[in-house]
Amino acid sequence: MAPPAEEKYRRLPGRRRGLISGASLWMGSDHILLVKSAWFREEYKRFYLRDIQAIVVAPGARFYVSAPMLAFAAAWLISASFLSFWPPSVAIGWMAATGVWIAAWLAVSFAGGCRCRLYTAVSRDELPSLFRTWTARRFLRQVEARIEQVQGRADAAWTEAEQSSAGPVPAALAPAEARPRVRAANHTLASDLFVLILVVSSIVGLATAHTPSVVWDRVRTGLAIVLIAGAVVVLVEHSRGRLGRAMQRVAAASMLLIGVTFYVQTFTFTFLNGVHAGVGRAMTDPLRPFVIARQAMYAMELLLGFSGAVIALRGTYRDETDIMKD
Amino acid sequence: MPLPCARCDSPLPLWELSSAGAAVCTTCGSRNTVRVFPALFAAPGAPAVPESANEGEAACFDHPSKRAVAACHQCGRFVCQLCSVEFDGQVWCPSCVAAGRGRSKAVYLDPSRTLYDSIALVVPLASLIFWPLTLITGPGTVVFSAMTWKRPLSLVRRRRWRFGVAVLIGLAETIGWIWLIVYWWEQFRMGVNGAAR
Repeated sequence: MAPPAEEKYRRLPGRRRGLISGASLWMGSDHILLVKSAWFREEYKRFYLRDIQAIVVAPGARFYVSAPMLAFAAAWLISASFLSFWPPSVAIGWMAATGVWIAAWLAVSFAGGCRCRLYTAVSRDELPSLFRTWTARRFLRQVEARIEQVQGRADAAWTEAEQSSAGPVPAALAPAEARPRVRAANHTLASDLFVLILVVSSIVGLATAHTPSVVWDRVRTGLAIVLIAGAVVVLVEHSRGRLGRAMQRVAAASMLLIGVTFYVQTFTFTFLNGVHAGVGRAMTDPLRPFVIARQAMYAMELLLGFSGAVIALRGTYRDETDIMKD
Repeated sequence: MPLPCARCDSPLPLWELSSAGAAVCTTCGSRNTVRVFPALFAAPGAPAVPESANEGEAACFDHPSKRAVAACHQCGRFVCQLCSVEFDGQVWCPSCVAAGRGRSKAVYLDPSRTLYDSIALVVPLASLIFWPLTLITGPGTVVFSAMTWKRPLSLVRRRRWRFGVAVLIGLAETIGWIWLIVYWWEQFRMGVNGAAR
């Protein structure tokens, strides 16, 4: 017997592309396929249209940096190394564009983020590729029609019917109280200190980046080391389930920022030295590109610090009693 | 029947759900967009309970005391209510499912797959960062691509162009190394001949 042809899938709205992981949704003949990929492996989960009970979308801040966006940011930062060759107006324009870009990303992440879940009788799964409200709306429009083709339309007055009847509650949809689960806090003492160091480091950096003083250079280096240590503590607390994902992302972003800036500076210095050696003349102002790159980094650090402060102020504090309780 | 909030998992109140597909969570305050489908109201199916076989009735192969309800589409064994496995519109017995006889049919039900085409493409490109490695990865990619060419790809990606590109890169690296080795050999021979004269 010849093997049947594989299922044909059509891409649904929403795609998540990280550096090493990703997620996407596909429509099959009778099911929705959730594809999660990591490195060189894909994992599949099928939601049959006849089994889907509900889809719920909740708005909420989602700070997500995709791989193409990261590549663009890296190229943008590398372009900063050539600022010394450009006229001042272009350099100012570059910095303004950077500010606008970061502000736009923060605005979209805060206002346009969402979390989408799909419920069946035995599962409640988050759909990671849907993290923007407009994408979730397009997904719902496409999927709703297909599910209704299979199941029909739910009675509009189902809530009244539910209130009047005391039917059995499916396990997956039982109230959250029935299934106690530990919720990670938005901030802890360690994360508060980390945010504080982030803000202090960025302010000190912005105020002293242009001064060639060795003392200030050492102060900045010391603060960067403390900042990295703080970020590591935050990541550890997140991995132990004590701290929420938002603060973990701030910590990861700040580490990435420090790392990328360090490598960009090193690369730029080597590159410019090589160029000037080739031309046969010394660099007129060797520190200028680094000052601008550092100022850009500290500005981004400050934005991250503010993001961390917003996250900390929005959530509940998790003290030692809570940790003991958990 | 409470639906949980997608953000905080708290149950959404019914009076909120009645308002045109949107519900504000009373715990976190987020405004959930809710789409409910008839499967939510379907009663859970009763568990399969095999009936006892009477004298002279066909019995299950694995449970001789239970009445057979069907025959396995693959091996023909009789199966009871408990043993019948519905698979691709046919009834199978647990042994045939376990033996993997439905593998060709179940190939698209894989829970995961390894992306050999991506491995074949990334390895020769990544090895360019430390180019001496291409001495191994160049021919290795060609061999690996040939060995895994027929393996199933991603469920949602159909084309094998990554394999094609990987083979081209692997061949280019291999030819580059052959040329380099020949060039070095010639240089070495010329050096030896020069020294002998």
